Amino acid sequence: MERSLSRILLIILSLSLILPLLMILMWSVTVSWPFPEIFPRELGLRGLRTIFQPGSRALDSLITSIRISVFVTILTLAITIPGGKALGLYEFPGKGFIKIIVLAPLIVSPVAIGMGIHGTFIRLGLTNTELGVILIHIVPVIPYGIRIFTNIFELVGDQLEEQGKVLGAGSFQTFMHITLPTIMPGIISAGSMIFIISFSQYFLTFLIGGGSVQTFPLLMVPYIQSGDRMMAASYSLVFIVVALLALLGIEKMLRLYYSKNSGIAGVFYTKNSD
Amino acid sequence: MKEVLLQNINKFYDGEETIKNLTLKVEKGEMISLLGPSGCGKTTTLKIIAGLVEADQGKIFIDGKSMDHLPTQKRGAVIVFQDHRLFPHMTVGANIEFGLRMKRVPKSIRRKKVQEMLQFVGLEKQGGKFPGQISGGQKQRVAIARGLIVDPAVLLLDEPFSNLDQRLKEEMRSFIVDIQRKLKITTILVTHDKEDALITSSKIGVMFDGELKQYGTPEELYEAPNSLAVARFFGEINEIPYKTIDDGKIHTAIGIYEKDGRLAELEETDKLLLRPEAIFLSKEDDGSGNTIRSEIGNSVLGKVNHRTFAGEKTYYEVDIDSLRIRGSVIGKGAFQTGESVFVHAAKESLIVCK
Repeated sequence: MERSLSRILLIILSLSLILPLLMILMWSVTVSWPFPEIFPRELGLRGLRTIFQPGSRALDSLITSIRISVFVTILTLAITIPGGKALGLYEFPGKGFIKIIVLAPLIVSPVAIGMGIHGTFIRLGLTNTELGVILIHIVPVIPYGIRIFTNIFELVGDQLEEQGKVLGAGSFQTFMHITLPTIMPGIISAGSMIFIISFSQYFLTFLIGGGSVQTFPLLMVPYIQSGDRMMAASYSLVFIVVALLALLGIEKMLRLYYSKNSGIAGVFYTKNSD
Repeated sequence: MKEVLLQNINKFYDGEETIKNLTLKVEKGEMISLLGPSGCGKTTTLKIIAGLVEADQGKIFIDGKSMDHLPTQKRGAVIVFQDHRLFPHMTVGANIEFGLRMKRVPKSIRRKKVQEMLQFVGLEKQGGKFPGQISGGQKQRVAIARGLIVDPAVLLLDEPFSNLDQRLKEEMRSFIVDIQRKLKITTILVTHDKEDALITSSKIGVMFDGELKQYGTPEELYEAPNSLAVARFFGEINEIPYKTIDDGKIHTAIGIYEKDGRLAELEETDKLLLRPEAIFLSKEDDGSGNTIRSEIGNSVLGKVNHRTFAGEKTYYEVDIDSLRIRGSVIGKGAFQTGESVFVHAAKESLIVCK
């Protein structure tokens, strides 16, 4: 009874995730699909062809988008790993206040932050540049990184780092050989979250990039608004696939690193001892 | 094998003094214990030696070299923690190899040494397993092997036996004593268990509330503790009331003693203590009509209030007037509750302390 109930729930959940994707898939190859008909009347590849034809704006913007999101991910991790460690492990005056301030971008709308920071960016000459877009993308993702790494460090503590130092590892060695592998699950989840959030930014890119930094969502939104369903669906499809690939890519990359740094010695000792 | 010297170490946490003016010297190749209840500052002392915690005052020397401002990784003081702290993402072999890898020892030498070390601690078959796949005792061995492989100047063991059951604990204890004797590594063991300290160490330092109360050989601490607290820590003890009367003799609740030998220096504020096993009980009448009292000469009459049989020993609570003392005898003992017995103790077994 309970089992079949959970199975039904599972099916409903998967369908609610998969059906919209199926719709997008359908629409991306549908030329016309008048209302009462169950199946599309005419199929075509105009949408996908427009995106993938060599030298298309879509491909260019896709590359720009990926480049921006990769930098945002790396920079944000570089900021939030030490930040999370400080908040998770050490006691210092003003810690409670900093914990709240750091989460502020979650409460205050990024739109307000973007508007506020716009003037400063103009003065610094960061508007209409990719660097400016990268910097502004970091704002909304900081809280996620900080939150995840604070929790992770609270959980793992610094006992293993202490042990590493005692055995003769310097600070950098300790970080590479002990801290990094220990917090790897956090890096994977924070990294993929940051990438996706940055990759789907529309407003902040538009505001700071001013239209001269063309990211994928910037091209996609007008199609959705104008009602060209085929184009909109094709863009959405590419968007989803890239985001999924990025997730898988980040995970694979880090796992590979992870096993390289611990697995080889393990394999050796297994072989030799048996 | 280096000597370790701590000089006037002080450490404050939140304005509270956790280590008070600690001075300690450990000779080359010696194994000592820091013994005390939890929270007395023993583990903090280890961390200060290793440089994980900085002392607020005082100096540390290892092999004559000052450790001031020397980072942990350059001190060569290796702590083996109570909770093992094996790196979960590395195999047993890689865990042991870690210290050598950090020192950039060539791979071929590393592998050879790890194999030797695995053999040394009896874990040849476990090298490829992950820490989650081995038992508690094996983890302990890995933690020790991982520390030994870097050839530490001083080995610091933080409560290494407290997570183990009795049988394993005894096994690990002799394992560590064995290793220490073989390799002659200067070792400091931190424990709250007097037995661990007595069995393993050539010297013991007793710590209470961040203060080193007494530092000496196990025999000294057991037979001549300098305070009631230290005496209590090494086992049950009876406090014997006494008074000095004009005749120069010391009149105690268990007999009258000449004021010489051990008691020569007895001052009125001192306490007189007696361990349970130093109390001799004998029957009022041994059946032949001669009371033993006349042979011993110096004893008092008491009444057995309670008898507890504990296997190899039997404990007796004996009331002498209003004083209740605890004595123990080997075996099951010849007296029953309610019986009258003579209580006597040799002068040599009396303990005088401040």
